[in-house]
Amino acid sequence: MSRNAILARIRVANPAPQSPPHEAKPAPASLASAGADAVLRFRTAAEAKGVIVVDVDQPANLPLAVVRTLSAANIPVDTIRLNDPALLALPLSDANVTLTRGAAEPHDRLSLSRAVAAVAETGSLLLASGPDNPSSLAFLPETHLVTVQRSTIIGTFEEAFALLRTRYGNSLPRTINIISGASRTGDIGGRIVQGAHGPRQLFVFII
Amino acid sequence: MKPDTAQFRENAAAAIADPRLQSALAKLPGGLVAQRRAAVTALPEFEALRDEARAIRDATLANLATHLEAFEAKATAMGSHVHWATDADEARQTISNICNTANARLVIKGKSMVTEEIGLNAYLQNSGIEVVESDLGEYIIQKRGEAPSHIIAPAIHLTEADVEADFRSYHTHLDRDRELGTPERLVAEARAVLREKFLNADVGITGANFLISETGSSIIVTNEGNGDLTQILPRIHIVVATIDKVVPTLDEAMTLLRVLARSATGQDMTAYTTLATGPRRADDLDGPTKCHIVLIDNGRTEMLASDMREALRCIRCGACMNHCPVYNAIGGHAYGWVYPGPIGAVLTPALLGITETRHLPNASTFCGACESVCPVKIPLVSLMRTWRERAHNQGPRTRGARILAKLWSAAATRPALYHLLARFAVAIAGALGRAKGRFRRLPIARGWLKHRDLPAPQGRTFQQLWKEAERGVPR
Amino acid sequence: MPAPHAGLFVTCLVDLMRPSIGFAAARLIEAAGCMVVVPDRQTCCGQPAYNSGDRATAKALALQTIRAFADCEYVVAPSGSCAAMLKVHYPRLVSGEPDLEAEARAFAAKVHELCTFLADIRPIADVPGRYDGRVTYHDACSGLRELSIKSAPRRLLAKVPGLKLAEMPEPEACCGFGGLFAEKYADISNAIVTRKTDNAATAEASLVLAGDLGCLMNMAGKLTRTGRPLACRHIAEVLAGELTDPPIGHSAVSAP
Repeated sequence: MSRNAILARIRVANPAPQSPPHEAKPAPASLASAGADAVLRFRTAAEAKGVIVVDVDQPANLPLAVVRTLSAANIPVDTIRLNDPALLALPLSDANVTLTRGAAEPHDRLSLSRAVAAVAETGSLLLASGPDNPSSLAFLPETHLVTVQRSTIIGTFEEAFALLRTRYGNSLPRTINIISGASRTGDIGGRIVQGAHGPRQLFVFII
Repeated sequence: MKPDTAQFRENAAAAIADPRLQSALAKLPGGLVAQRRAAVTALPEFEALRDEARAIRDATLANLATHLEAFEAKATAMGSHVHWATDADEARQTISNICNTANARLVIKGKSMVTEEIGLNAYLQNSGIEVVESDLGEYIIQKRGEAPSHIIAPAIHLTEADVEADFRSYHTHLDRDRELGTPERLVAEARAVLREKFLNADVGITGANFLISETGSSIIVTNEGNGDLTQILPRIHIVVATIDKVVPTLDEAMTLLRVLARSATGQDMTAYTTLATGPRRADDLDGPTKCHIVLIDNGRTEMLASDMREALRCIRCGACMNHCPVYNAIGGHAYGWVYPGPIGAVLTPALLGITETRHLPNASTFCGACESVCPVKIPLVSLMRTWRERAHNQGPRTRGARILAKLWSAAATRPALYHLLARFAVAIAGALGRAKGRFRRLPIARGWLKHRDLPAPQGRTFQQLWKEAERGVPR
Repeated sequence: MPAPHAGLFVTCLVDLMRPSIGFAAARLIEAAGCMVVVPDRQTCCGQPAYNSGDRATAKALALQTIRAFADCEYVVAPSGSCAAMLKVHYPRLVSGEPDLEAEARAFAAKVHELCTFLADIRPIADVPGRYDGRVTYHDACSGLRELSIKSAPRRLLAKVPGLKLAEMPEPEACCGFGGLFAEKYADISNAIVTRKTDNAATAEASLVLAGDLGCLMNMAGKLTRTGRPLACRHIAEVLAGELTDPPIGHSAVSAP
């Protein structure tokens, strides 16, 4: 059986004594941040990646913020795909927006997800798949909107993984998406073009 | 793909004479190289992270069997099917069986170097399955029937105009008079064409940047999001990875990711870093219903047991080739197989044998630029030198070279004889070259003289002059 | 206190091609307060054999060299490449043989590349040379990456009256020499040296300097073949003011 043959060959190549397990080191100090500092750092890093970051003072004001932000970016706001109960509970339909539920469909233009956390170090969003936030929302539509709770903006990925361990124990959701900007490619002539296969634009609403 | 490594010299000459390739390569210094420099400068701990990344890879390789078993157990517990393959053939058959069992007609692929290495696409296509590469660069070269010329930028050898011409000839269902003259339009066209493929694919195949024992996950990093559509939309996800990709924990993977993106493209994080763990859950609305992970040896255990072990640290960032003067001069295809540049010059002989690949480790100036940027500090020059020793031990290629080397060695190890011969040779060459100070033509050093003059010696050896000076003879 | 004995490791290229560099080096080492000795049991450092995969010859030459300099307190080489061979690679060549390894390590500790020696080991306050004009400096690969020679040559050049250092783009890029590489893979080497000399030319200097004669011969050969009005000299020649001999690849009659 190939499995045992491969493992046996590895053990021959790695004779005892084997080195002690490696101790993971903490994140580099220059990447760490917390509190308001982390929020600022997240915003700066995300904006440097072309992400539009919008502050929303309370959840009830998200619909207005979404409509205003997208209008300013000349993106028509008609139908938004989402499935997160907390977001569905917001008065989005009052803002003349049609909400469709479920995973993303091929012709969806706009989607809305809720991030588990955001990481200041690189301006990244941490999304966990599940019935509320299907992973396809982050990839099929042309424009992806993500909300993140201000209090969940943390300094480094080590903290983000600790949070995942706390929340999910030893069983991660099917997909954890770490998103750091919109889809892009440099494969044609070395020039960066946004919207290769996934969203052309990414908007983050900090609530 | 069929290796073409023995024709390295000819391939390199053709590459140098190809103006389109040269104009594409000319973008490297101001592109990936400059971007890496900026990213590294921005992170004061980058050097320390390189040491840490190297330590993580070494510690993992030292306990590889244990980490693989842990990964297998966890991945299985999370619902993945883990397969093992000793060589390329077994890997292809395993993947093909999964596809056939699922009655797959269309396979969509994320970028994966190991599937290039095992020649997966041709194998699946021969059994009647349509295989479509979804990374834009891979898609372009797949259509051209080429191999990647760079491990992270597979179509780096092509210009915008090349891609436009290709798209016009492949996408014949589209309006012939359409505007296509910008990268934006080219990307939009590929997006539309490939979106259909994503939606209709039965199986999605991705590689893995890392496999995490702690969680049983695979990690892929992309900028396009193609790897994500590949693993979310089709009903079956197959992860193909060599056994050296395993990393014990998420935290350790993070250190590697921090140096990977910065070294590769100068990003602190690529747009998408995705942890995939098993198939979709009962209440998920999307995701694959089955997840297979194929762990491939194909020469890695041999490398682990050999003095090429350190090459297994590689995390495939491509920085070594971006910074290599030889790669910058000839591009990736001249190397004749899947892995170009300095890491290719080490890996390719390990995977294909040194006999047919001896040019690759020899075609280096040993400038060491590769080592100086390698995020896991692989001693690439030393490893190339080790391959040169193997090649040397197989014997010099020509009788002439053998005799010359023997004569030189015999003289150099006999100082008195050496100095005597040197005096004669230098006196003659000095006299011949005195008028011009250099040679344009000689019966020797033809390679050198093809492109540049050979400066003439001053006429007497230093040893000779020094002895005379000691005796009080003026120079 | 008697002056320490510094053995000059001439390097085979300097011995054969350009003894004036050896005399320049000797003059500078003397300026650093040392007594220069030139053991005649030295030939080549063995790097061509080592990098061709001929470990046996390389090892024989390593031992020959180590023993030739047994009586010296310092061993100084006007080449980063040869100095790296002596300092970094000799111990590796005999690794696994404890006695030889100890000998090679003790030897390696005495070895210094010329610029490092003059800037850091036996620092000199002034240099004998003077040069009125602009020069540009090529960081030869082995010295730069194996011995971290970067600031030493520049600090020394700053001491030369009249000299203005103009950096070229990518001063750390390889020149394409690579020893036998330049002959065996001539087309690739040419592509690399073409770029290097193009870069050097943009500095609008009259001289390209470097600490390694191999690189200099490569660049000089390209510059004369392409008819560029830019000459090459070893940094030691400028530091020592040994400028009587025409630049590399030029004759007394054709010198620019």
